[in-house]
Parts: sequence; C-alpha cells; structure tokens
Amino acid sequence: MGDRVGRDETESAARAVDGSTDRAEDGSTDRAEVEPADPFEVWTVATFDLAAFSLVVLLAGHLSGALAGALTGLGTVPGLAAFGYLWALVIVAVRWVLSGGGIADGDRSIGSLLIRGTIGGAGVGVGLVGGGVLVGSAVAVVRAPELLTTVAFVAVIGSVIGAVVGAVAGVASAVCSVAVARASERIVPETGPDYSSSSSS
Amino acid sequence: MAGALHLLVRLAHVLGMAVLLGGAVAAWQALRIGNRDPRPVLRRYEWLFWGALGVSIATGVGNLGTLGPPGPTTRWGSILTFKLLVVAGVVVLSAVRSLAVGRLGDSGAVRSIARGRLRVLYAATGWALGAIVALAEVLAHG
Repeated sequence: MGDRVGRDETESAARAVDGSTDRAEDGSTDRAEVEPADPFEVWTVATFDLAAFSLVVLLAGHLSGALAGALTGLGTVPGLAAFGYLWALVIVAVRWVLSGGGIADGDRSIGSLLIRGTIGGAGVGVGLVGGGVLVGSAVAVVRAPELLTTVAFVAVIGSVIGAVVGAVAGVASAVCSVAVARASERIVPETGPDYSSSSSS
Repeated sequence: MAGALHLLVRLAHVLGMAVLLGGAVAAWQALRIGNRDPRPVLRRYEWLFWGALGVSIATGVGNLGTLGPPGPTTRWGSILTFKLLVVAGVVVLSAVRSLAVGRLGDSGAVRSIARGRLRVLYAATGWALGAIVALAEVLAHG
C-alpha cells in the first residue's frame, strides 16, 4: 500500500513535469483528443466577427441618430481599451468554437458550430459585462464605496443581458462565418496533386 | 494632451489604411509573377490585414467620437453611411479571400484557376479600399 502510494506520487510528479507526453501516450483524457484550432483561421474569423458586429452597431447607431451622443460620452482611451478587450474576448471565444475541427465543409456539422457559436457569444457578452463591472468596482471602492451594491446589481442584470445579446450575436456570427467559409471553398475548391505552378497574368 | 492623443489616433488610422491598401496591391502583384510561390506573401498580408482592419475600425470610431458626427440626413452623414457600407463590403470580401488563402495549404503550388480568382479578389479589395480612402478624404475636407 505504502509502495503503491509512493509510486502514484512519483507518477503524478512525472505527469506534472511532462504532462503533454503523458497525455499523448495515455490517450484516455478528452483534452488530449481535442484538436487545437488553426491560429490563422481563428485570427481571420474572430476579427471578421468583431468587425462585422462593430459595423452593424455603428450603422444602426448612425442611422438612428444615436451615434453622436453615445460616442461623445465615451472617452478615446476607455473606448480603445474596451475595443481591445472585446477583441481579445472574441479571439478566445472563436478559438474555443473552432477547436476540435475547423470551419471548412466536412470538418464538423453546422449544428455543432452554431451551438458553440451561441455559447461562445454568450461567454463574450458575460465577459464584456464582467470586465466593465470589475473596472466599475475598482472605481467604486476608491471613490464611492456606497455604490458597490449598485455595481453588484448592475453585474447580475448586465450579465443576463450580456449573455442573451452575446448569444444572438454569436449565432449570427457563426452563420455569417460559415457562409463566407463556403464562398471561400468555391474560390479555392481543393488542394490536390494536380496543382501546377503555372500562372496567368 | 487631448490634441496629441487625437493626432496619434488619426496617425494609427492612416497607417492602418496604408497597410491595408499597400498590402492588397503587393499581394495582387505577387500573384501576377508566375515563377514565384505567392503563398508566403499572401498569408503574411492576411495576418497583417485583420490586425490593421481592427486598428482602423477602433481608431475610426475614435475619430467619429472626436468629430461628433452629424445626423444621417445631412450630406456628411449620407457620405458616412455610404463609407460604412463600403467598409462592410470589404470586410465580407476579405473574409472570403482570407479563408481562401488559408485553404491553399502548405504543399504543392497554387493552381492557375485559384491564382486567377485570388488575383481578382485582391484587385477588388484594392479598388474598394481606394474608394474608402476617397470617401474619407471627402469626409475630412469636404
């Protein structure tokens, strides 16, 4: 018994030192079987989703006449920081959505992409609200501690709204991403042995 | 301080557009040269493209906040609407183009039909970006 415990501890330590090798040899853990997403695809799809979402919001705000008021209240530095934070969140979410298979036809079912896109979008919405709440909490602690209760209330309500809006944006982004991926497959149908280096001018 | 920050934001916006437009022309040219593998140039541009596009959108919104855009029914507002629609078109076109470049793979050369289609896409990107620059100039200087 004591020997066994000692051997288990040694094996655990070895796993901690070289976890990847162990997982690859073991093959029994789910994490080892999930294929990581292609970074190029993640970068393209994530920034496409973010740009499309931003443009839809900008156009809607501009056409409704609400854009000027909304932008005036938001300073340049906080605005850029919020955009950068949202960009990072979308990259993390798309990386998760595209893990275990890319966006190309045949890599996985569209239903799986839409479900993951919905969950990923909801995560981005909650993450965005959570970031805002963290900043708001820090400001409240320093300047007005009595506002912490209000910040907590806003966090709960904002997270629910953020999750719903994010889920809708996520599934819409997934649909658009699949559409542009199918269009790209028509541009470059397949890579195969019949490719030649010949060109046209 | 606010003036220097706004200048910095405008500089980033202009530099971002220079990367987008200049890279599109360079990629189109790389596809015209027949005896060279264009994939490294194309992939590098696509990486840069989305980074520069994100920066351009963020700084573009910053510019709008500083200028305080008038309503959509004014002449300035109508041009802004048109510019945003052209930018949206470039974004969709570029997503198709980037994912197509990503499909080229690591082995084998680029088939002539794919090369021709990509060249058209890069040319369209370049012309559309040129139109955006022209619209931006009208917005900035009337």
